[in-house]
Amino acid sequence: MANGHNLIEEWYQNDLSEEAQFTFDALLKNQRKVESVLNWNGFKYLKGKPKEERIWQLDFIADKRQYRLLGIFGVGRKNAVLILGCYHKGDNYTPRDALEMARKRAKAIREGKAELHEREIKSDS
Amino acid sequence: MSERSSLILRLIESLDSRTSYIKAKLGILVPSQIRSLRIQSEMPRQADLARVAGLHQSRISMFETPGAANMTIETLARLAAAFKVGLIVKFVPLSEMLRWENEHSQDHFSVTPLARDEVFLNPALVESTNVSKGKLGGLSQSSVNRVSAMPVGRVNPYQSSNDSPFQNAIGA
Repeated sequence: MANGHNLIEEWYQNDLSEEAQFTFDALLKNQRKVESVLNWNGFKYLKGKPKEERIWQLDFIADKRQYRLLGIFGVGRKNAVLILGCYHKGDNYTPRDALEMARKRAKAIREGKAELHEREIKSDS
Repeated sequence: MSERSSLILRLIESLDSRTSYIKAKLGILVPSQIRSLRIQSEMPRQADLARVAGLHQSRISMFETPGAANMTIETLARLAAAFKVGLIVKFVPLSEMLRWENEHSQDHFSVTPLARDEVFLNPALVESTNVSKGKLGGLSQSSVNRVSAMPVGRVNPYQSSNDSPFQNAIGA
């Protein structure tokens, strides 16, 4: 499972347009400065089984697409772990099994079977 | 070529890149300000703000979603009016935009509403009070001296902290 891939970075590089990349970077830069995650714009815990596993979702819009970042918190909510990037239209996620994948990844992280990469937030300066 | 050099090159060469860059920053900073003002205001629920602004609650929700830059000046003016604050839309160098982004804090963002905006409501009184207290434009004389005594270029206003709380998960 832990094959060394940085899946979020791969998603960022391969699946996001330039506008979506800029928006993603600006979003992380802004959220980092917000003390309470409950005040993060576009933040919510998912419903159903993912909710029980404390998987959350962060929404953002770029190039007229509704993007979703799925994640979990590390110790004390000071570490946000991004586990999957996808987009959403109507009732559907793309990829379709995004929630299931997120649950598997969250489980792997919690069991210490997946490796984490620190993400540098771009300051542009 | 460094990542920053590559970004600069793209911004210099491409209208589309510049548009995306500007849209992305506005798309985060404008919703962040709206949410912050709403929470501090007398209309902390989206439905309350919607009612006062004469907008549908779903639109308020959309305006607060990161990346929702598709707002007209008419809408922004209406929201500013609902919050009883002003609004500045001005063209600036990208460095100023970046400084705005680096200095913006959703937690600490606040704007004095009209009812407490003494400078707007009674500028003559504020000015005479400042003169009698030895203040100059809201700064005391000693703070003016301190500011002017600061070495130029001591602080890089564009630099933001890089202690990232975000991590990427891999390998699942």
